Parts: sequence; C-alpha cells; structure tokens
Amino acid sequence: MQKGPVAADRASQLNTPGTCVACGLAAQGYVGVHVCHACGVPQPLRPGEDLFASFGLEQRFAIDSGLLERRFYEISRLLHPDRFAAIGGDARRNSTERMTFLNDGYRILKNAEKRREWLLNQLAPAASPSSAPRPPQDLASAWFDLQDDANEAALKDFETRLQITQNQAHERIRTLERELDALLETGSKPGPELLAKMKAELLSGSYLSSLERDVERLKKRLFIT
Amino acid sequence: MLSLQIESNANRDASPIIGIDLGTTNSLIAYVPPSAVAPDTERHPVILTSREGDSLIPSVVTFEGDRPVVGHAAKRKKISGAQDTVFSVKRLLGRGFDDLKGMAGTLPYRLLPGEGAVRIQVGQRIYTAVEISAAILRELKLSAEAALGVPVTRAVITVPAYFNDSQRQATRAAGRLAGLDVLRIINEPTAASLAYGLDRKRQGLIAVYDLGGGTFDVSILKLQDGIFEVLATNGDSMLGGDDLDLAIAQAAASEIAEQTGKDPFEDPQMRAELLLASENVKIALSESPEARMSISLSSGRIYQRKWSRDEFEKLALPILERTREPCLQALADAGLKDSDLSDVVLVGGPTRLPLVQRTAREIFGREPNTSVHPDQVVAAGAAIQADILAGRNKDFLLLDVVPLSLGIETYGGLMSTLIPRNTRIPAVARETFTTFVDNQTGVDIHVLQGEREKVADNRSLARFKLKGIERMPAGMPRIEVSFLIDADGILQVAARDERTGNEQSIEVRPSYGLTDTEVEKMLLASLENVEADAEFRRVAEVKNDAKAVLIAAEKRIPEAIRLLSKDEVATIQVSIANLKEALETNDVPLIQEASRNLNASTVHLAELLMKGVLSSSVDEKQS
Repeated sequence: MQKGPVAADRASQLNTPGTCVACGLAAQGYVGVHVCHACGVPQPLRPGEDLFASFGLEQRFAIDSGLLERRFYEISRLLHPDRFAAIGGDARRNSTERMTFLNDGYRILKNAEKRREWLLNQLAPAASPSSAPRPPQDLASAWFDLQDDANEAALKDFETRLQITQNQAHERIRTLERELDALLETGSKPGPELLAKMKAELLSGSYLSSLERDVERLKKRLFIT
Repeated sequence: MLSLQIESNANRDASPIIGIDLGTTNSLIAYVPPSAVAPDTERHPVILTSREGDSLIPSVVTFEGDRPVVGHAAKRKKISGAQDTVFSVKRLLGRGFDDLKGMAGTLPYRLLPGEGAVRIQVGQRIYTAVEISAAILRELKLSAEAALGVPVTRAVITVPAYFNDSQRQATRAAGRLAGLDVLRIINEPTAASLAYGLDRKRQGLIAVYDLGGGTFDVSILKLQDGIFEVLATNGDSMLGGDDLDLAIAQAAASEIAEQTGKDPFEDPQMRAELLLASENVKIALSESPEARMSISLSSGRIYQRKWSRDEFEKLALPILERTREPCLQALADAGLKDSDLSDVVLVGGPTRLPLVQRTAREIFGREPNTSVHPDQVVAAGAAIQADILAGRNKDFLLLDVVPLSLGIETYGGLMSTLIPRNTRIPAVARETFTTFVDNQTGVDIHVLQGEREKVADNRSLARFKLKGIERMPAGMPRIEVSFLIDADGILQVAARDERTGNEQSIEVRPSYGLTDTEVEKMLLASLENVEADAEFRRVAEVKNDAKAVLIAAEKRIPEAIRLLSKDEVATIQVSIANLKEALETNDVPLIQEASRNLNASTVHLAELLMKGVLSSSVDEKQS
C-alpha cells in the first residue's frame, strides 16, 4: 500500500493550451487535441475538456453515431497506449490518461440516455427540475395495489400501462431534444424553463425505469422461482 | 497464412518479442519477423518449432529427479509416470484447492488441500501451478531462442478471455519465473481475431467461438480497417475438450467396474491410461464414424470397446450445450442479434469435432467458418500483438475490454460494481461511499471481481484499509473510491477521504496470484536451482527447530532466575544471545552448535523444574 499518484502533481508539466507539449507547434483539429499532428506525441489531459469537442462534434442531443464511431477509431489509432508501449515514460502515461478519458467519453456519447444526462448537466449544472410532469398518480397507486394482490393478469395489465407511459415520456423527451438542438444550432443558450422541463422528464424517466426493474423482480419472484 | 519457416540470418531481430499460446493441452510460439520473409509479401506471423521439431508443444511436465522435462518427452510418460507427470495445469492456475475439489479425483497426480494457491505433489517435492507453468514457458523460451538464434526475454502470452484477475496474475508470474518479461496478457479469442483479420477483406461483426482443452470463450468483435474492437466477451473457464475425454473415460470406467468389480479410476496409472485412450477416441471420431479403445487392465485382461460417433455425441452433447448460454449473453451484451454477424470463427482443437461445429451453427444460426488453423491461430495473433507493442505494426490496433465486472464490498455482503464487464480499457471509475456505523474511523476496501450480487459468490482480489477518518455520525464521511485499469489490464484501486484528503491505494495482486516478493523468492529457489533449493529447505528446517528451542528457553527465564545460581542464569542468557545471532545467518553448523549449547545450559533448570513438578504433586497428596 502506498500513497497514490495525484493528478495535480503533474500540473507543472502542462504546456500552453493549444500547443504541443513536446514540439510546441499549435494543435490542429480534433485529433490534434489528443496527439500532436507534427511529432505524434500524446498531449496531457486538461481538467474539464469537453466530450463532444474531443470527437470534433458540436454539443447536440442528437448525434451521428456512425461519425462518432469513425472519430473514435481515428483518434484511438494514434492515441492508444499500445502505440507507446515501446516508448514508455510520459508519452505512455499521457496516452493512458487520455485514452481512459476518450473511452469514457465514447461510452457516454454512444448511449442516448447518458449523452442527454451529460449534456444537460453541462448546459444547466445547477438547474433543478420543474415540478411537472410527475409520474402519473394512477400508475403509482396501481403499483401499490399490485403488490398487495399480485396475479398474472394484473401484472400483465400493469406492464402494458407502464409501457404506454414510457413511450409517451420518450416522445416528450425527443420533442424537447429537438427544440434544444434547434436552439444550440443557432448558437443561443437554451432558457432555464426548457432545461428544467428536461430535467424533470429525466427524473420521471428514471422513476419509470426503476419501476420496470421492480416489475421484473416481482415477475421472477412470483412466476419463476 | 502461416508457414513453419525459420528466420533467415538477414532477417534477424536483436530483441524479439514472441507470442505464446500457453494452452491447456498444447502450447505454441509465434513471431512476426521485422521484414517480410519473401520479397513482395506481407510480414506474417511464423510459428516457431520446438527443440523437438514440432510446432505443437504438449503442455505436459514430468520430472527426472528434480529436473523438469517438458513436451512430447513428458507426454510419453503420462502413463508410466502417471503420478509424477503434470498435465492440464492451466486449469489449476490462479485457483485454490477448494475451487478444484471436483477435479482432484479425476487427475492422476496429487493436489494438496490447503489455503491459497493449490499445490501439486510430485514425488517428494511440492509445486505450485505457477512453477509448473513456468517450466513449460521456459521450454518455449528456449525453443524460441534456438529457432531465432538470439536471446528471447519478452513475450505476449494469451489467456482465456474468461480468466479472472487471479488467473491472469498467475500467468504473468509464471512468465516472470521463466525469465520472460510479459509485455501483455491478451485474450485468446481476441488474439485469434487478429490473425483472422490479417486478411483485410475480413471486416464487420464476428463471433469467435473458442473451445480449448480446458476453457471455453466467446467474443464478439467489430473489425474495421485494422481496428479490432471487442464488443463483448463471455465464457466458462471450466469447460473444454478435457471434459469430453473425461466423459468417455468415466463411461468406460463404469463398464470396467461392472465387469471386474474394481473402479479403475482409483488407480492413478489406470486413470491416466483411460484419459489418454479417451482423448484418442475423441480425436479419431472427428475424422471417422467409429473408433476403437483398448486398455490393458491390472488383472492382465484387456478391456476393448468400439465407440460410434453417435455414442460419443450422446455423452458430449450436454457438455457442449453449456457453450450456448455464454454465446447468447455475449450477443446480448454487444446489443446484437445473431443475424448481425458476418462470420462465426471456430478456434481450438475440439472445434474439429463435427458435433462442436453443429452446436456452433445451431447457436448462431449460420455455418461457422472453419478456415483458420484452429491450433495455430491464437499464437499467431499473440505474435501480431507483440509486433504492435514493438511499434512495428501501426495499421492494426486492438481495443480490448474487461471480461468480468469489478467492484467493492458494501454493507450487507453485497458487491457494488464500479467497472461493469465489457468496459473498454484503459478505464477509470469513481464512486463515493460512506460509513455505516457512528464514529467509524476506518473502512475496509474489499476489491471484488464477478457478476453476482453476493460478495461470497464473487472472487476476492484484494483488501486494504483506509484509516484516519474523523469521528462522525454514520453516513456523514465521504470516501471516494477510484478504480483505474491500464491497457495491460492491471488494476489500481484508491480510497480517499474527501474531508481530510487522506488517501490509500493498492495495485491489485490477488491472493491466489503471487506477489512480487513471492515470485522473487521462487526465482531464487526456481526449478533450475534444485541444489540451492534443497539447501534452502534444509536451512529453513534447522532454523525452525532452533527457534523452537529458543522460544522454550526464553519462556523459562523467570523460573531460572528463581531456581538457579546467578552464574547459571548468565550462561543461559549468553547461550540465548548466541543462538539469536546464529539465526541471523544461514550457517547450518553454527545454528546447530548454538542450539545444542542452549540446550546444555538449561539441563539443570529442566531437572529442577521436573523435580518441582514431582514434589508439588507429592505435597498435594500428603496434605
């Protein structure tokens, strides 16, 4: 057991933003942020780098997933620590740190739900969800009834209702995303009400997903074991 | 795709990195030369042959005295030297005796019960699976050196994708013990895909169905312009061709038991013979519809039997059915349907069996690809990865994942996952935890690997403690736990008290793997240093005996002061000091001498004490 490495220790190593840590040339394009186009040296990771910009993408709720994948491969090909295995040292360490960041970013951006959550947090870190819309009251009370008296027919009925509610919620989210993306496209900052509305939808969405998991568990308990 | 050509001198590489397929049944070595073997051809992996002149090197170790013999020479002794010949040791790597209870009775050699890594008894000596694997790796290293004409010190070694961290660390340790710097441990199906994708026309989504001697793996990959992205991986590290042999052997054994009234499995040599005959039946049945089995029993009688493919398949089917679930899970994890796949690649010797091919076809709903060399493709892939790590191949890149989820123990004996399985590496994960009891000043960080909810059902990798937490009500402290996995798959875990900034971290070395110190120790006493090893053991024994004398004497000091003269006490104390000094050395005669002196100086005390015991018991009777 020992004292772990602290990222801040290497702050002194950081170069002027936008220039290569090794050769000092200006970074070029989204690939240049990660690896110098001229000397091929991986660049140290800076705190707070934007996930979308890392892949040369604009901040949008809807993205081209094929393009995301191509960019991920393109950058990985130059940045991956395996490229620096024979070199070692700072290059290997910086590439590992940056590749870790890129892997995480790819995981988040690839998944619509995680991407939405991340972007919303960027746009409105402090915004609290607006009060409406709550998970429908009748769905909640139906769930309590179901737990008191669980039978196959009631469970099936409940699942159908849950599915419909989820579809409706999903539709509302998609509409909000389109609205937000249209605003982002014009370069204007989305207003707080819109963002609060989105946060509320996400909250209600996670309530519905956990309800879905509860239903699965109940099903297992009742009909399988 | 592969040739057996040995390097020409013009194509010599001063410090080559070799690829090793350390298999359950056979091992192979491969290497990508720095320039193409022939003009106008691409640089392709070559399979290096063993010193015995074969590309397949049986993963079998036997002993001539204390000297290990590896390969065909060892395999030939599987029956005559059944108890001293270790095979399928890969199934024991990184496991404890308790993990292997089911297997112990099916092997002709002896596994010793006990804590920690399982131990194997061969004659008077005891080995770990790491040491036996190291003997195989050393033979592979020597073969590579003979083939390449230069010293070989660096390697990429393949392991089943579904090997857990303990098994990977044990493999690494075996490499080190064999004098190899293991640059990377890579997964067998992934390695196979590298060799398969050498032909750039092969693109798209593929499944690799890898049934080896002892393990089953399935991986789903995306191949695109030299990028090999692992999407999901799954498997069973206790399922392989060995199980098919065992099924045949057990069926034959029960017939023999019925005829003779004696279970042949109780005799290690008979067991070895049955297993070998069964393996031959299995291999023969992949070509022909019938195979003969003939075994000479101890009574002098001969047990003979004809096996039809149908009969064999009835035994094999339930075993092969166990490959279905991992395949479906891997597809689900990758978010794919079988119809999304553009190819299903079969890897591993047992996939030559028609039944295995039928099973794979049925699971994936398509005709599997049998065009790759099922034995050589993994080693060839390891060599390609070695070439990438050497910085020579910039066109290919492997994007790998963690095969099993990683997390920590939380209250109630439950596992909380920080890095889910199939996460791309390198990876990082952070999560904040808190205390459960008021005024708790320390937390135990118990690092786990596995997919189950309960801690007890998962593999324990490491434990450490974060101390110095301020006294606060339960739930108040914030402790950030971070997991970091680098491209080599090595896990670093840190816990940090957010209030004080106090931090503890550990590089995970699981209990069933071996620590660096342990490996260093084993290096000292390695198989090559048999004499030094015996000497080391003798020193240890003498020291232990002397320590027992020392402890007994020290315990009696108060009584000595009460019962003996000052001079006598002084003599004892000097003798104790002398023995302590002698114990600092490894000088056997000196330790024995000092130990004898101490004994002599306490003789009078022992007599008095004995008398005391007698007289006090006499006193008791009189009163």
